[in-house]
Amino acid sequence: MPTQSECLLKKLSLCLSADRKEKWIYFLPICIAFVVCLLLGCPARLCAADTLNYLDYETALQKGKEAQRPLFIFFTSPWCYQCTEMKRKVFQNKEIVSILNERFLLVEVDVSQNKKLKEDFRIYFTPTSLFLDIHGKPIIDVKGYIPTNRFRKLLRYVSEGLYKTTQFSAFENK
Amino acid sequence: MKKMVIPGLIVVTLMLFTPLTGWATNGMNMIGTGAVSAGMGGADVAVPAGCTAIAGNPAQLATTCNRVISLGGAFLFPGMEDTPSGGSKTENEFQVFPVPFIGYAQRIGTSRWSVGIGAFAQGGMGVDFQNVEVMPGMMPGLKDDLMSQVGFVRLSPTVAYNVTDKLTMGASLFAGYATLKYDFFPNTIGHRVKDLTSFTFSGRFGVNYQLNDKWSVGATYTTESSIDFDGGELTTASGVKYGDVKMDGFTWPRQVEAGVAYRATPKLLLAMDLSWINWSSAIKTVTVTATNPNNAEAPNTLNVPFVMEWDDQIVVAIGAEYELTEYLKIRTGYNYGNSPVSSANLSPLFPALVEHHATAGFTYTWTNWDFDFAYEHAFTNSKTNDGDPNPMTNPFYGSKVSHTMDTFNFMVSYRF
Repeated sequence: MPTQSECLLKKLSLCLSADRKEKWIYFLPICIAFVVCLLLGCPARLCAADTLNYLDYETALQKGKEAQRPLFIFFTSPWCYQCTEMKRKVFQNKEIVSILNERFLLVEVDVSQNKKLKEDFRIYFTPTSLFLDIHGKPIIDVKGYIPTNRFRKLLRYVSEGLYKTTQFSAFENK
Repeated sequence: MKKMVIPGLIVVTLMLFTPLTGWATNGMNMIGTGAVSAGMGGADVAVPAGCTAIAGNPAQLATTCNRVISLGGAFLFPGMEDTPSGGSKTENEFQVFPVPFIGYAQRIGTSRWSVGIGAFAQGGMGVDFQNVEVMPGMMPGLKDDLMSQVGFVRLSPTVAYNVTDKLTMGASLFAGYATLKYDFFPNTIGHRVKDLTSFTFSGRFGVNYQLNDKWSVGATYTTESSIDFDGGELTTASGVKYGDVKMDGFTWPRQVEAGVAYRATPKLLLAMDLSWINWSSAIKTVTVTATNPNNAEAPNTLNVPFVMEWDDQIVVAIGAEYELTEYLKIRTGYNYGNSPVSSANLSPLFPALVEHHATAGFTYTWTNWDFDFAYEHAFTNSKTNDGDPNPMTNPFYGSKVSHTMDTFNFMVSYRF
């Protein structure tokens, strides 16, 4: 049986002459604080004010031609953690959402459901962010999680037609 | 010949890691593998991980990106004191234990499967007391050394499968390699044992369930590893060498963990784990048996029992992660695990005493690189041997042992 002097929490006047099993009592306040934090803690604001306006691929392609706007296709899968992270972070950024909605036609493809597009564009990894020109021809694809700042550059690179004259790596490093 | 290649590679890999193993902090276990887990106080069961899922919840391997390789480790700085009954205090010699980790993981295409492999130090312990008073009540002025070093590393192929978009399951096969040596007053009344080794297999099964956008829960079960040491050498204080030495009764325990993670805000992640480590059926009486002496007058067989009778351990880990920016995450955590060592069987050779840990860490992301760091402080804990007062059966009766530790964790990961 430990003595009082052995107890770490003695200085907090929480120490009792208890055996080891009763030391659990010390963690009660911590556990309560944790639960309170969970229950009353900052409410999650996972829903942004603006959301992305996704279309199906054929509709987006047709509207893209009419509106002279490129396509952004986000290839995802239900078990893709990095996709969730992009949706949670990058696609919650109001500026990003605004640029995407205003300057692009948007398509989200679940590769576990849409095998045809997966095969057509040879998607072997999620997330893959693919940009198409108004004729449906690939401009650039980027695999994996894309941080917000890089994604913003990518949108500018495509929407301003810089891809016609410059490699993205060169544009990114300017 | 080909049949020997893979086992050979496994053994060589593990042997490369083993000399680097050292002190661990939940009994003989690390509180967490990798700087991310360590920064959150070891609360990692329901928290997304990369390569380190190989040493944590294997189901979390499914959260890895396309391919990731991680290299890192920890530097452990233990501090210990031993004060024999009626004697003076001896401090542990300065020791630094590097504990490495290397891992690789990837998702197989866009499928539901993720795979990985890694080598890591599961834990261990070690002390180095020099010129300790040997039972000062009976033999005043007599001094000798106490040293121990137990290392246990695991090579772990791991697989994870997304059963649904919310449920993930994973499994790890652990090929373990353990080494042990110790000095028990080797120049006066005791003996020295070295070169004990053991090769063992075990496994871990893990699940994770994403309840909704905020909550996820996870659990793991780890089977025990029976470690039968052999191949060692024992030298008595009188100079007799025993060429065949084995150690029985040493087992790495089974473990059950359950954890919950809660995304309180888009930037704040909270996590809590509860673990049960079954030391009571793993570490009871460890017996060293030595045969084949080099002196015909010495006993043919020498049996040295170490009555340890460890208690089960309950570990509570609480951690928080906050994203300051998209490139910088900070973490803090707290970990408590009752010491499995009972006062009645306390030995300065195996004093796994620390209970309370506070941790802090961060991850900085630069392009495809992640740089992780964590610091752990294990607060001082002391115990006094209050067991059998007979010095012939309990030479450490009345000894007071104190233990503290600081640990620095580093990890670099590259995603490609």
